[in-house]
Amino acid sequence: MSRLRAIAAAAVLVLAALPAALSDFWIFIAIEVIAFALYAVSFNVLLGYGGMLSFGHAAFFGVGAYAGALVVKKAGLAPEAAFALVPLAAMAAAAGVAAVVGFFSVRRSGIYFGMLTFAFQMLLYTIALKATGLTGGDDGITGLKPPGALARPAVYYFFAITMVAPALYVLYRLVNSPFGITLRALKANPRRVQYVGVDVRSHQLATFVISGAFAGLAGAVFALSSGNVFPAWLNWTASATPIVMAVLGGVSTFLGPALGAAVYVVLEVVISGRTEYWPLVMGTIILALVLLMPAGLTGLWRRKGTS
Amino acid sequence: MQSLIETLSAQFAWMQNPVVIARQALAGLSNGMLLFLIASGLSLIFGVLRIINFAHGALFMFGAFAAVTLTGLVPEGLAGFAGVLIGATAGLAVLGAAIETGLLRRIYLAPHEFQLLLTFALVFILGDAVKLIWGREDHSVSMPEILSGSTQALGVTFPTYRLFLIGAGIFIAIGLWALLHKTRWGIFVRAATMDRAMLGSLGVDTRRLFTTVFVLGAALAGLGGALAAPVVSIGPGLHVQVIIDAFVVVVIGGMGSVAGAFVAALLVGLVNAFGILAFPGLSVVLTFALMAVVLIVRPWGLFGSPE
Amino acid sequence: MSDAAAPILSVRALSRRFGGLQALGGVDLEVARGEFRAIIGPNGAGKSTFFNTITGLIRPDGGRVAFAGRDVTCMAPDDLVRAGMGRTFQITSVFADLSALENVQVALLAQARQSWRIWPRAGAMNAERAAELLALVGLAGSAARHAGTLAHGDQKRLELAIALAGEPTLLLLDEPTAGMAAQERIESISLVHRVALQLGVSCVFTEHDMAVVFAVATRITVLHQGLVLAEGTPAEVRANPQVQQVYLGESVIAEGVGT
Repeated sequence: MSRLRAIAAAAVLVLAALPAALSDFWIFIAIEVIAFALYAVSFNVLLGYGGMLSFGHAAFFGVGAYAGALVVKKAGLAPEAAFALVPLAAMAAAAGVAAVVGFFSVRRSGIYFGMLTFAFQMLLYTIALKATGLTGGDDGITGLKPPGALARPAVYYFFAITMVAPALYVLYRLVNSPFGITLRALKANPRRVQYVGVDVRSHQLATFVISGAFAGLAGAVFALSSGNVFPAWLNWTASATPIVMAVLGGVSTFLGPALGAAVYVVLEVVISGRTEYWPLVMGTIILALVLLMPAGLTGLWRRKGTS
Repeated sequence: MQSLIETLSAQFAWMQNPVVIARQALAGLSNGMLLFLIASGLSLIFGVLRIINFAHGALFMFGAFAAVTLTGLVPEGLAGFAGVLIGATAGLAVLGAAIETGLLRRIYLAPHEFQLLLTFALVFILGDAVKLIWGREDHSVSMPEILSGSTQALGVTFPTYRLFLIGAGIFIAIGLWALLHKTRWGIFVRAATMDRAMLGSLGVDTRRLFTTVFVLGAALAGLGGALAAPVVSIGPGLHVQVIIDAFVVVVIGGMGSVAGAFVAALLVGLVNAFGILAFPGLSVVLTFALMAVVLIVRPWGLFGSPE
Repeated sequence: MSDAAAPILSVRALSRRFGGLQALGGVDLEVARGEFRAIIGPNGAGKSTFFNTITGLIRPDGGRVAFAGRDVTCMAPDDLVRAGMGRTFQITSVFADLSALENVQVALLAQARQSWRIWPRAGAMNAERAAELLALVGLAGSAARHAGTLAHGDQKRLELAIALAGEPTLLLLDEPTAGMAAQERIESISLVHRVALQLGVSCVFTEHDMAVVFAVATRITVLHQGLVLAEGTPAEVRANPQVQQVYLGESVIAEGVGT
C-alpha cells in the first residue's frame, strides 16, 4: 500500500513538473495523451469490465467534441461562460446519443452488438458530414480557442488534468462498486446473472451511457486543445483507436488502456513525423500486438513480475 | 408556403419523366449488383468464420487496381477484358488464401476485439500498399468497345455496360445459389452459418471450410472490383465508401445470408440512385435511415434469423 | 401478493413446441410447501424444457404458472428470482472470473437491490453473509479462489450458495448431480436436502440417478414425451407398471440402482 502511495505521489509530481520540462508541441501531445487516456479507459469499462465490444465508440468522442465546439462557437455566450459549460454539454450530448444508440444495441450481444454500434456511428458520421449548417460539413469546426490564459498549452494542460483525473476517479469507483462487480459477473456469465435477479439489459445500457458520456468529455477536452473538430473523428476507422489503446495496454486492468493511449499517441507522433505511411507502420504494429501480445503491455509487465 | 410547394414540385419533377426513372433504376440496379459481389462475400465470411472482415473493401479495391495493371498487359477487346476479370479474381483468391492461412487462422479462438483489430490492421496495411504499388493518383480502365456503347430498350437508351453489369450480377448470383444449394460444400457452409455446433457432427474439416469460404469471399470482392473498374475512378480511397455500403447491405439483408445480401444490395443501390434525385446530398443518410429502420423492426435483418 | 395457503408452485396445461417436436404437451403439476419433489423421465422427456419454461428462459405456447398463488407466466428471470424462485443449471454456471466470495456477493447485492450503487466499494459489502453461505455449503476455505478454478463438485456447491443468496422460497435444481461420481452424488444431494430443510426452502429437482431420487424425494413426478406419466410417493411411483415399462432398458428403477 505504501509502495502504491509512493508511486502515486511520484506520478503527481511528474505530471505537475511536466509542462516546465516540455516544449509547447510536446505539451500539446501530453494533453492529447490525457484526453485519450480517459477515452480509452471509458471505452474499456465497456469492453474489459462489461464484455461489450463497441465498434462505434468514436461516435461519442466525436459527439462530445462537436457539442463542446458548438457551445463555444454558436451558443452566443461570453467566452468564459461558454467554456465553463463545455464539459457539461459534451457529457450530456454524448450521454443522450449513447442512450438512444445503446437502447437498440444492447438488445443483441457479441458481434451483433458491435455491428449495431458500428451502424449507428456511420449514421452519426453522415450527419456530421451533411448537416453543414450545424457542423460545417467536411470543413469541420475550426478556430476553437479557450478563453484567456487557458489558450496557452501549459495552462490548458492543467485544465485537462482537472477534467480527466476526477473522471478517472469516478470510473475507478464505479468498477469497484456493487455496480462494477455486477458488471463483471455479467461479462463472465450473462445468463446466470439474470438468475441472481439482475436486469441485464438495463445494466448494460447504463454502462453504455456512462462510457459514452466520458468518451464525450474526452472528445471535448481534446477538441479545445487542438482547436478544431472534423467529421473524420466519427468515421469508422477512428473507432479502431480506443480498441487498439485498450488492447495495447491490456483490457483486464483499469489503467492499462491509459498506458496504451500514451504509447499509441506518442507512436503516432513519432511515426507520422518520419513517414507518410504511418497507417502501414501502425497496421503492422497492431498485427504484431494481436498475434504476439495477447495480454497487452500490462500483461508483459505482470508476466515479468510473476516469473 | 407557395414557394415550398414550388420547390418540392421542382424537386420531384423527375417523377413525371419515365426515361429518367428507367435510367436511375438501371444505374441503381447495376451498382446494386457490384455491391452484391462485395456484400455476399462479407456476409458468407461472417456467417461461417464469425469474423467481420473490415478489409473486404480493400480487397475490392485491390481487384480494381489489379484490373488497372492487367488491362495494360492484355490485348484490347472482349477476350482481353475477360482475361482481366479472371486474372483479378484469381489474384484476389490467392491474396485471400494468404490472409486466411497466414493471419486469420491464428485468431479464431481469440476474443472478438483481437479479430476486429486484425482486420482493421489489414485495412491500414492494404490501404497503404495500394499507394506504394500504384501511387496516389486516380486511375481509370476503359471498357471493351462492344460494351461501351448504348442500347435501345423500351424506347429508352441505356449504357450497354450497365446492362452487362446487371447480367453479370444475376449470373453470379445464380452460380452462388447453385454452389450453396447443390454441392456438399454448400451444405456445409449453410450448416455452419446456422449452427456451428452442427459442423462437428457432420464430420466437416473446418480448417478447409474456413479457408475456402474466405478465398471465395476475396475472389468475389476481386471480381467486383474488376467489374467496377470501368465505371469508377480508381484511387486509394476507393475502399472506404465501398465497405460502408457493403456493411449496410449485410446488416439489412441479415448477417450470413447470401439471398439477403442480394435483395438488400439491389435495395440499397436503388435507394442511392433515387435518393440522389429526391434529396440531393442526403442520399447517404437515406441508406443509413433504411438500415436503422430495419434494425429496429427486424434486428436480425430481412433474411437473417435471430441467434 | 403471496398466498400462504396456495401451493408453492402450480403449473396448469403448460405446453411448448419446437418445430415438429412437442416438447411439453400440457403439463399439470402442483408442489406443496416444504416438498422435495423429483422430476424424472428418460432423455428427451421434456424435463429441461419444463424447467426453462417455468423459469422464464423459454416462453410457453400455452398454460399458466403460478408461484405461491401469483401468476408468473412469462415473467422475466430477474423478476422471478427477486420474487423468491431460485434455480441452478444442468451445466454448472458460475461467474468464472470472480472469486467464490464475489460470486455470492453479486447475488446478495442483486437481492438487496444494491447492484445499481456506483460509489461504495463492493469489497466488504455483504461479505459476512456471503462467507456464511459459503460455509453452509462447505466452501469456507475456498472463498478467495477464482470460481473457474474450483473442482466441478465445488462449483456445484457454489452455484447452490449463489441460488440461496437470493433467499428463495422455491429452489429449482436442474440435474444437481450431473457429472459427478456415484458416491459424490449422494453426498451432494444430501447437502442440498439438509440446507433446504434448514432454511425452509421447497425444492424441485430433475435427476437421472434413481439412487439420488429415492434418497431424498418426498414425491416424484414422471415426465414422458412431454406429458406427466405418473405422480406419487416414491413407493407408488416405483410400483407403477407404466413407469417400469418406460424405464425398461433405461435403468432398473425397481432396484433403485443408478444409471
